[in-house]
Amino acid sequence: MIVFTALTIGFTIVFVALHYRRTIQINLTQKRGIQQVVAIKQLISYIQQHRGLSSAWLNGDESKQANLTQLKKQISLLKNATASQISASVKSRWEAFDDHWQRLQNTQNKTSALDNFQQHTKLIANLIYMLEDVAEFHDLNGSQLKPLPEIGLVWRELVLATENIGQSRAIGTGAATSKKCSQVDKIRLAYLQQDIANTAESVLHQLPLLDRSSNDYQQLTLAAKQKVSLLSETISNELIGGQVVNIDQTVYFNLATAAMDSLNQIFEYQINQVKQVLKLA
Amino acid sequence: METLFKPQFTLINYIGVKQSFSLALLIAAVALFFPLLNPEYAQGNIAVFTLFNVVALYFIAGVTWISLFYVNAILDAITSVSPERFDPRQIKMIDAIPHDTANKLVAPLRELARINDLHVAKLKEVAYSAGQVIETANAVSKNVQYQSDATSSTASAIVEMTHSLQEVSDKISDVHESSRRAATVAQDGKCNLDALGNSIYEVNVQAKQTQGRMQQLKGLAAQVEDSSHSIQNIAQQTNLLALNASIEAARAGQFGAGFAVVAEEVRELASRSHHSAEEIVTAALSVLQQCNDIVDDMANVVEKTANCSDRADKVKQSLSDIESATKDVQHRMEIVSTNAEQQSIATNEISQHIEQVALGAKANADIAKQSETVASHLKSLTI
Repeated sequence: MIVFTALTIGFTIVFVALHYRRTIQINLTQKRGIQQVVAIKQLISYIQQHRGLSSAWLNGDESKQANLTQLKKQISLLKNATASQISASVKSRWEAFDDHWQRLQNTQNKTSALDNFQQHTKLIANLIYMLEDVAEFHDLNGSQLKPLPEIGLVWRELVLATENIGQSRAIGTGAATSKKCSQVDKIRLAYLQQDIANTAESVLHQLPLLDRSSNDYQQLTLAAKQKVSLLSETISNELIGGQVVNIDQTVYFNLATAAMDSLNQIFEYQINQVKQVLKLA
Repeated sequence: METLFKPQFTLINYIGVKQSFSLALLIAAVALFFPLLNPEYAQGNIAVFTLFNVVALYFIAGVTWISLFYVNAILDAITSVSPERFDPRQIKMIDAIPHDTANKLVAPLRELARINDLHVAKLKEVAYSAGQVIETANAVSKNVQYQSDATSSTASAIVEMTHSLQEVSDKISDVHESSRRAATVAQDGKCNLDALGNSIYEVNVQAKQTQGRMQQLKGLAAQVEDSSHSIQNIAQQTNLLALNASIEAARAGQFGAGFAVVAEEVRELASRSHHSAEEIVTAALSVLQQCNDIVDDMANVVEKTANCSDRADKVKQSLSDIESATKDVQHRMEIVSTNAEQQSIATNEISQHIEQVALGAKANADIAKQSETVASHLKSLTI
């Protein structure tokens, strides 16, 4: 009986130790994940800015050269800092991004504005997939973050919506500069506009929320919805609908940037919620 | 069965699958091998030995059953994904499945879902682009219809203009004939005017000659006047002398000596009067002759003037003919002008139609270019 009791106690100790170890491992994985997600999101924002600046520079705006140089340094610093954190599960994506970024920089002077836009967009798409993969591989999903069951919408839909606005900003600013919106640009803008409008209507309301009565979040959502709706209407009326583009490029750029910023604020709010759940905040 | 193996599920939930399976197998191994390694103890504690074997059997059966349960659970989870939306986040893995395993299982599905999303997005773009192509085709169709209408109108206008041009051609021939007649009449008028000029010149010469002769006549008349004065004076003196002679003759009676002197003086005066009278006659004859010449000259002048008048009448008639011909030309030119105006309107219409055709062609060219761009875009979406 003594042996049996001893074995039972031993097994119990092993069980408790394993449980504790598992809990710590999951928590650590999630902490690493959230760090990587934040870094990748910042990298996406930088690349989006680089897409706009390099597009303007390729269209002859030499004043953007200094900003581009500064931005490249920031991207390089962030990239180097993030490289060491990146998990093995997304290593191939990271290497693909690194290689693509290097090639993009080397061909910066030789490429066309359209190709430059497409290459940046592919690069950003890869980063967005990487962000979602990182979140999933680091247990930052609805299954593991029980208080935030729809957190997956943040890693995909919200980031994609921001990117769609970023693309519409780049295309629309080019059209507003040349005062002409080509048929292909109209098609792409129409597609993006549908997605942007859908984001304003549905996705923002489905995002997870720890405190449903939070005034801050309601204000953020309301502001984002208004800004995104305004941008969507502007795209529809000024760029897709009319034969001639009358809107000023700066006005349009600022509208799109404000909409992106409002979604980025919601993303930051969601990150803080995740940190709260993980007891990091 | 789930209830039977609930403890093992709980174990898995707390420490994970690998760990719980390892622990379960360890417990089973201990339960199985401990009595074998300690048979004396087992014989003495048959109940404990039995318990060990039951526990070992329970954990081994649990591991086996739970493994099968997981396989079924994974299959159910995967098959529960909606094929329409194909979102791997819909897969609800039971908590007991290791996260790494679940992630590795879902990762390819997530990639497939992304490819699916990409294709759905491309299809949306293709659908929208196809709509644009249809709109473009409709626009081209409308433009072609406009061009067709404009071409028909242009053809009608050209027919109208052809008729109008034929009329203009006829009128221009008439105008040409009238002009030719006007030119002939004008030529006649010029000849008559030249003859009139010559006649007037001759009249002028004759008039000058007449003027000179009249001047001479004036001088002769002055001489006649002087002579007449002399004769008048002589006649007065003669008259006085005659009067004195008669007085003296009457007083002297017999004393007629003085009378002889007076008579001589009277004779002398009579002689001078006679001479003057002869000069006057001569001058008068000369004046008469000159007058005759003037009359003749004036007759010539009258004749020439009559000729001038006739020629002037002819010129007047010629000018009337010219005026009439010119009015005829004017009338015909008005008709030509009206026709030209109609032609101008027709030409404007044709011009507008051609402009419409040109605009339609340009719009079609633009649309064709846009269609080419959209087609290229569609092609890029399918790559």
